[in-house]
Amino acid sequence: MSTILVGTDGSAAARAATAVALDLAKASGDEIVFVTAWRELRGDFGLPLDAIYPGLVELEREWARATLAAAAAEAKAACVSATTLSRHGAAADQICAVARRRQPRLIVVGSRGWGPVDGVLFGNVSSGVLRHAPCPVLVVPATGEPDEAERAGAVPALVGKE
Amino acid sequence: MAPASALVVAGFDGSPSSEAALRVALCEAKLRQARLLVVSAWHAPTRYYGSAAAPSASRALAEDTRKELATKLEAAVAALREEADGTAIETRLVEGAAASVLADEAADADLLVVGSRGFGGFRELLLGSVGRQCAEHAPCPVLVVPSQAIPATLLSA
Repeated sequence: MSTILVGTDGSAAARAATAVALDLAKASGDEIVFVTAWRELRGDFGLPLDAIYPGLVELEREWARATLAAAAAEAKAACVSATTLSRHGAAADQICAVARRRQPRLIVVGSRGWGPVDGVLFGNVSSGVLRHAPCPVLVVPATGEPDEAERAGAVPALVGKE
Repeated sequence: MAPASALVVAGFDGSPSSEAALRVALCEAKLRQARLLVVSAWHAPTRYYGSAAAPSASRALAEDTRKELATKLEAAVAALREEADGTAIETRLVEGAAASVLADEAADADLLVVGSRGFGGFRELLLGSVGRQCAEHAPCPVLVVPSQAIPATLLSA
């Protein structure tokens, strides 16, 4: 049995990637490792936003935790064996670092993530993963346009504190 | 075998990672009982060793590029057909920028497979950026395959 590594940030494309990975794992009997990365957000000029919005880091970390919990629940529903890893740092770096350690046969990521929030996948992350991955990478596009309400729901504290 | 409705598209530029991509693409096509379409893209170079090429020189170079690519494509696909086990393999040689050609050809595909790095230099057929551009713009999942450490298939345990 081998491993499929799924990089997720809970975005529409990441959920599409999760669905594809679960299909693959069901067919192959592979185990899935879900990885998500969180970090302190920075604004313009590298301004650390948590200095202005205390508790923002905690929200990032909580989002990572909730994203992984949702992914694990989906895996369980699909009868696929899965573990989760929450890492602190830049997503592409963390996904590739986990890949070097766990040596998955495949990395699956969404084609783009929360652009406005942190560019958590594609642009930054997908291309970073593609450049540095030690194994084949499957990039899955989101099905349909990202849901605006869902997008807004991703940053409740920012909206609330403005 | 009835014509398969599922379609796997693979990009090929003759580079080692594109050869690896072909092998993975064939395995994927077999598993999905899909047709495999191998696409090579070429275009007239506008620069040659750093100099702007005159239009006539550019056409001559393009013709060389196309011929060389056609030969490589034929050889690679001939080797692939020996392992095809009845999987239908088609080829297409298209003039244009690799990423947009591949995204177009993959419009109805279930999977697009590309190498992670192609040739740089004046050929620019499948740069590393092509994989990235395909992954960004293709309408289907894109598998980017490095030349080393190739698994048998996405589904191999």
